[in-house]
Amino acid sequence: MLAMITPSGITYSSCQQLPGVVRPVLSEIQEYAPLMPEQTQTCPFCALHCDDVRVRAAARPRPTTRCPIAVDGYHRANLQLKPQVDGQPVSMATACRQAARLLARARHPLYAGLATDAAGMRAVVRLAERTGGVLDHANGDIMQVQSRLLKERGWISTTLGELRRRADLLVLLGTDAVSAHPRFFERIRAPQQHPQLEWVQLGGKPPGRTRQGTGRRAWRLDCPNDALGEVARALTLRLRGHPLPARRIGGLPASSIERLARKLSRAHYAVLAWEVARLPITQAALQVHAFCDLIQELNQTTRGAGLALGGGQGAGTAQTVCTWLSGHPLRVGYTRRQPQSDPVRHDWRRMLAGGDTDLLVWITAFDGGLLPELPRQAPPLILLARADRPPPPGTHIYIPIATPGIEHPGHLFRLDGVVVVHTRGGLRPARHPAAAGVLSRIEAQLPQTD
Amino acid sequence: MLLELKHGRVYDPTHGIDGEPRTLHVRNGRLCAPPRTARPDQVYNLRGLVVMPGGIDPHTHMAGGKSNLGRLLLHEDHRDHPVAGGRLTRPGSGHVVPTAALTGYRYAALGYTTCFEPAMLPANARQVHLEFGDMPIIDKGCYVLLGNDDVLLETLAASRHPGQAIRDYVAWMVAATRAQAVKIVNPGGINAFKYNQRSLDLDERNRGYGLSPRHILVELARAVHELGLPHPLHIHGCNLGAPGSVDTSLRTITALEGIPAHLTHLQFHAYGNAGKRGFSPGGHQLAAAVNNHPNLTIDAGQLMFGQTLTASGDTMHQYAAREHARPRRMICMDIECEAGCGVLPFRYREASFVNALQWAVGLQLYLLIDDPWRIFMTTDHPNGGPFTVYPKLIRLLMDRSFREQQLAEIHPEAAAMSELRGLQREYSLYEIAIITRAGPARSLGLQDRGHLGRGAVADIAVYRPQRDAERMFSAPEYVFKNGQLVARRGRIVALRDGQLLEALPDGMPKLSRPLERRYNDSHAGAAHNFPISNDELAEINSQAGIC
Repeated sequence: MLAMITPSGITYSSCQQLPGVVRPVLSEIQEYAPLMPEQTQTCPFCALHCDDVRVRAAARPRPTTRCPIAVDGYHRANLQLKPQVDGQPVSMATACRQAARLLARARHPLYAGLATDAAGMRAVVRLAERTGGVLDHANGDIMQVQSRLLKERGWISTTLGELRRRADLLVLLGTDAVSAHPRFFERIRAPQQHPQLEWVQLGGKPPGRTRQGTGRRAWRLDCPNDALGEVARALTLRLRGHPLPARRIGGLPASSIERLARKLSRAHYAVLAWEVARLPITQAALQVHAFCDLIQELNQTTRGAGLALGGGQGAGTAQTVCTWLSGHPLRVGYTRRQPQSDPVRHDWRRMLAGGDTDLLVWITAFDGGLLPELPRQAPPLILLARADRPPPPGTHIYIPIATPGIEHPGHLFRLDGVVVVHTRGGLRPARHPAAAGVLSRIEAQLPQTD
Repeated sequence: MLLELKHGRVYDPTHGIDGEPRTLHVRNGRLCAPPRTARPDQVYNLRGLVVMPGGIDPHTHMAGGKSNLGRLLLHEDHRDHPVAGGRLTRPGSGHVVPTAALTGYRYAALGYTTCFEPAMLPANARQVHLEFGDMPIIDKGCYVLLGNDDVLLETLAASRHPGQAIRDYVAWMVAATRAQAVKIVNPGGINAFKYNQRSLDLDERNRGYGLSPRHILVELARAVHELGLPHPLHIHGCNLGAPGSVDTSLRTITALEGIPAHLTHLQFHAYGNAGKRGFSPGGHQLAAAVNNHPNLTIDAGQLMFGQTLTASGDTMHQYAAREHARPRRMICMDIECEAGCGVLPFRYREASFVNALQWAVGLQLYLLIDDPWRIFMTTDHPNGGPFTVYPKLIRLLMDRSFREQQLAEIHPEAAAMSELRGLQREYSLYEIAIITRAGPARSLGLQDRGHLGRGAVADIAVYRPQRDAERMFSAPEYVFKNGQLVARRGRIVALRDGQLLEALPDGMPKLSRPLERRYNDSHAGAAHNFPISNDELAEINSQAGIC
């Protein structure tokens, strides 16, 4: 019994205890079990973060899934690389000390790549705060589209679990889903007794073979991805009861649009999914607005929600952590010791090309090949990368890091932005430290300032 | 280290101490008996100062997905309110939904030392704990959101005697998400919205399962009670913000049939539909009902004027309110067969009849509920206003002339309808100490907080008495957390990591096969990967360092 007695011996008398109601002890929970160390792993390599992957611990682990992204991610070489300064092998301590020295001297450090887990992100934001740095993700261009959407208007969205159990219609806008997430259809296969999902693919690549067994066959509408916004606007018009303005819209006959509009309005729960990376970058912002208008219109009478696919390489994780620490999504700078959001100025490509940074720190924990193209007059590069290949020539300081979900545990945000997974790792002894450890070590060696 | 706090005017309602001069001693972060021989290492002379236990906020949306979405949606607030880092403190931004570190600093600087995030979605639990890791000084806990999840509803619908299964599931959820309590939001209504139901009153049936909110609410309240969790079911009822909601709230109180419960932000559920505008204050009726039901505690969710943001699991009603959002933006999410999340910015104005009436209804609750042990101070941060308005709210409660002055500035019809002008009551410091510390501690089962008895955690706030209570409570002279001086006159002077408070820290109850199957049917991740282990919490906190 959780007795309400204060340490000084006074019993709470006027507490909300009812006469005659005895609060039982936690007797129901007789059986305490230790947490089950399951054999499955949560895959860190695409933002679907499948949590049912069986991987045997090995120097080069191989998962028993056919997902090419998982196989590639887990099975890469783990080279016995040492940290380097100017191409010469050094100890970890020396590399971190040198990095701290460079950072302390830098006037405009840029922290980019940011392909890491929540712990790595928490550590790099702290470093940016201390050094007046700018933060941007390797895929910052794509991420801006979605974060601008949220800032400017918001949206109505859903998660994979809802899609799997509740949705009866999925409309893929300009994406086949499986190129980015090979197991997408397998992961959303409805449990028994739940509505069978019907799906439509509007634009994008022709469907591959991986999507069988998810309900009825797809209806595919062929239209170029740069016409998706136009099609979405036409659908919105139809849902509002207006006639279509032309016989063909976005290359599609009006009859197809009519039919799709009917499907949407008859669906109980429709999910519209897109992948910003597949949209023409100059139009993407307007297109996702059109998609969201359509979703909003749909919700006047029935239910429907959006789902943004893509977002691997820790993009969602970087975005979310950056927001709770700085108050802004990425492309944040601490140049005046306070967070400042500037989606244009804090673009890593633009900063490198324009000579607006004097030191680049690039972090890539999942794929050692995710590297920036450096202009000729590039600033020195401090590279924290997965040790699946040697560092590119010209790297000033190189520090090999481990991969969350292989060597060490970590937290990652799934593509729906709300579900946080914990990937266990421990598949091989860590040859290299985690990004968070390296970044904290560098931070600890920065000179104290007021 | 022995600390002596001499001659302060101590307000410790748990022990019936009402402003008497006392000397307190602190050793190893806890209050202790006066030492026989040892000399204190440090002495603070607090003569003439008011000494209270550290404040406890039982309901503040300070972390997790919806706070972060709020930061995005109200980005101008972050642009306009940046804060530079200091010698000790980290930079951040935001007035309405401050960043994680600023939240910790600001609460501590106000004399608050323990805070509870009241709407943690299970799927988002890890984010809440990660954000807690970046929220310094204060101790934190969270309430897990149940009652719209398909697992619970399916279990209720499938059995005539679901009691045991519900208790097992609730215990598993509380332990797995490391929660202190259980909250229910619009029972069955968030789920119903996913089936395109746009409203759901207490005795209507949810389209997905044919269950009524009454049934769901009572079963869950009973399960929480029978499990012996320290805090009773934390209830955000049906019909949030709707005219006529007072009637639903009264029926909800009756429906509980004496089962202990906490009705949260009751102000938002206390509107009648009388008058020419069909919107009238229901605070009188609800206060009377609360007075007559000793099984209840409440917090008001006081509305304060200005720009803020509303973040709620109640997608049904947030969606319905979208036209009132200022600026006109909305994020509405259906989440993982558990619940949802609706985020809308709001600008509450004195000149608006509706807003003025809402403001008045909150005050009605504070002034008409007799027992201060059963009403706690909240603004439902940030829904009624950010927590930094607490000092002003305290002044409204303590200072009748100030209240009347404010009353003269709001929409006159709302002011007249509220009948606030006739209410004489002024809270004493003793009563303020109850509604901001002692009461919440008792309701949450925090035996070593909210009071200054021996063995209590030495969370202590020291104020300089002033006629203007707002000024008095805005910047306490000293704030001690676990006996360490952390804030001085509103400035942070030392940092420490806060602690997590949870109801079932000792292990994971097993989940039965049928429940596990239901969980796996409604999530895109497996039940066995769901619980947060001690190792994982340690991993989160090892990154925190001293924030």
